[in-house]
Amino acid sequence: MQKTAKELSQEDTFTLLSPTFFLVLLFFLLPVLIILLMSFTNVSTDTGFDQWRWVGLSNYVKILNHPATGQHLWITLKYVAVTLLLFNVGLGLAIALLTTSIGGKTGTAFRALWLLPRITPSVIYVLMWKYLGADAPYGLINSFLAPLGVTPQNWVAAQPFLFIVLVNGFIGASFGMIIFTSAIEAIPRDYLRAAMIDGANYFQRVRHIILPMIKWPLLFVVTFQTLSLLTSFEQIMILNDGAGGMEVWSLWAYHAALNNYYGNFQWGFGGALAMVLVVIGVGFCWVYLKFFKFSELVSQPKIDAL
Amino acid sequence: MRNRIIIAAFLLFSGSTVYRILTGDASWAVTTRGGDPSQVTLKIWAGNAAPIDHWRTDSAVDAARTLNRQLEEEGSGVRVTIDAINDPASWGNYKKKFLMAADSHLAPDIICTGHEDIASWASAGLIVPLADTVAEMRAKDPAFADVREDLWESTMFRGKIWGVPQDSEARVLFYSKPLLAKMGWTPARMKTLERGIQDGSFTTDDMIALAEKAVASGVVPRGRGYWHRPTRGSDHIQKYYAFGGRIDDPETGRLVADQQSLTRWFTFQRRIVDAGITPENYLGTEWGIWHNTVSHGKALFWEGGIWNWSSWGSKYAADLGGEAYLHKSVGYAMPPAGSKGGTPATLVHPLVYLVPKAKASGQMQQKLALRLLALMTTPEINTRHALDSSHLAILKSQLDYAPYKENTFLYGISKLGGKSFFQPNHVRFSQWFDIVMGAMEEAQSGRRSPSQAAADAIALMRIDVGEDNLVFR
Repeated sequence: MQKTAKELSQEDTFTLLSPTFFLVLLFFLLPVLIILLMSFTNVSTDTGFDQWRWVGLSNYVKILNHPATGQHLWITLKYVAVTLLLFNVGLGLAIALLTTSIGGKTGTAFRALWLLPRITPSVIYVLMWKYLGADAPYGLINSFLAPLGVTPQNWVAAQPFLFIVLVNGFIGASFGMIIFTSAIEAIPRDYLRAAMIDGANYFQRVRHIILPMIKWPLLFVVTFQTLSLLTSFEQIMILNDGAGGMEVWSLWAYHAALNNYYGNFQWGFGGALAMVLVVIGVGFCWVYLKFFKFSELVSQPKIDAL
Repeated sequence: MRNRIIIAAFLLFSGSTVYRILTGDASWAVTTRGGDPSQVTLKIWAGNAAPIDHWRTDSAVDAARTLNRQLEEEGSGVRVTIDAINDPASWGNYKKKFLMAADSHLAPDIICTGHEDIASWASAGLIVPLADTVAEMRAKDPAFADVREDLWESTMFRGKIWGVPQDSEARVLFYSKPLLAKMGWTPARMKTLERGIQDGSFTTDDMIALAEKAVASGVVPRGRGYWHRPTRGSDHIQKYYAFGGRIDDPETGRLVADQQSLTRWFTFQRRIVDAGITPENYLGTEWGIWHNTVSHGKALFWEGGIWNWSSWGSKYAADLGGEAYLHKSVGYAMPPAGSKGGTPATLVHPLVYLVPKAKASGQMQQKLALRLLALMTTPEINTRHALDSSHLAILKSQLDYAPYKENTFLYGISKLGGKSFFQPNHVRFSQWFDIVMGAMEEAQSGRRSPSQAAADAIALMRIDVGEDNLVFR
């Protein structure tokens, strides 16, 4: 006989959750534990894996005293906030709203176009941006701006923040677009029709019907994309490798632990940098869960409680 | 009960995984190259390898034929086969690959890499010292006695020799002959430029002035007077050196924190932009654009490695006639000194062959590997690499070896004179280098003033390099 959620015993709950729990343990908790332990050591290329020693909190003290910490933290938060708001959520939502209101094949075709940045291999995609912003006579942007009297230059180096936001944003927008589109399409048409009969214009329908009804996917996209932006550095690395003050925290950790110019990798220090990122990420998640009232979203439906 | 078993299994698994990772126990991953003891496979890796660099590993195949012949004559039953990987991975990924392989006892028997890796890999106990002194190394084999004396310095760390030089190069100042001709320079006068650099009468100031004149007279557009390397890299250290900076202090063995020389260097980097001979926001220019521009003679001066000559000839300037065009249109000289009477200097960054320890490679074939390296260190074998990839001779006898001597470019570079220097084999050099490169980018872009950028660099050195590893000037 089928059991309701309330009838499940503790043992059943554990059994049902165990595959997920195992995956989380293996791919999240265990790596975090290893990196946490590593962050209390001086393990690096020159100590190898058998001459390292415990150094207590000294890697964390180093982060606190590091002259570049403030700059790395500031650019990380700025980059995540701007890209998330304008592109990963903002543009993703805008495309979803516009294409669902157009509907049919046109909407689908338009959405398909926005998938191009995501399906293009990163190196080629970023190379296109580099050539777009390259100095004359190569860059496309310069050929548009030159007739307006703007001095040609390498725009990627001149406006590095704008470029890292654009490069990442154009990829990130497609994720939200897909999730939001499916969520909007799932809203019963009756609500929207009823609102139209009541005289609600498009913006009122978006504000009072669509947005409240896609709160779940909004929470998911905001949380997922925040974590994704916090930890991903691939495009920035290919674009300018963090030059021009664009070394976000995850790229700093990567450079320290895995890829500096002449190869003495500082795994212990890099581990401490990564742990700080884990704390920041968990902090963001907590804030989002409170802001979107997660507990209400997962509470028993009131209709069942009657 | 079932829950407890599952939890116990989780804990056991996680505990053992953490323990194995932390203790570096990778015995589970080890596969040995066992089997017939008379058949020995020597693995050799080279990294960041373009197709034209293939001789770095392919030479081992040729040398193994000679080695097998020798072994047969000695009545030994051992026969050597080569497993060569010319890895196109970037230096960073290549080094990571080696470290992971070494921890799993799967490193190669010979690894070709930049000499700077000696410091950290020797400290970690991953490579074997080859000799205590240069004299001892030279006495091991006539091939090693033929290696240029200066190159052994790049293989030394903590008083021992850890590697065998594989190649050598120089970073020079190139200039466009047609553009200088447009400014009224005759071929004879161009020769005086080379001589002026040699005797210290033509300095970076003169180069800037000449490039400014080329821009002002319309011979080149603004920003095309002088192009240095468009990304981070050792080439820039030449300028630090030209302005009196030194990387390490031979007396203490520490790295140098020299705010004054850094400021002078960074002032130069910003000055070339302000003078209009290098573009604003130039750093970060795509390499393809750089090669196309300089190889087509669209900049008056540019500074770069001599190894570019091969790819300009075979690829970027192929449409203009390849190497014949380069000989006709491109001149070269040492990079000028930073002040009158100074000696021009070039940074040499030799690649070296290192021999991993048994704990890294899982093999006890170090002596055989060194014997193979001696057979790879011949004028015939090394010249093939030098000619194909535009690298300098590493052997004294190569300067008299006809095929090398007939290459006018390489032979000409070998005879340029001036001074050469290496980057130090120091465990913290990697951090020192990244700091000065970052500060240089900030100064050149104008985001920080040269003196601010230098002060920032010193502050970062105190933390990332460590005061114990620094001497302040």
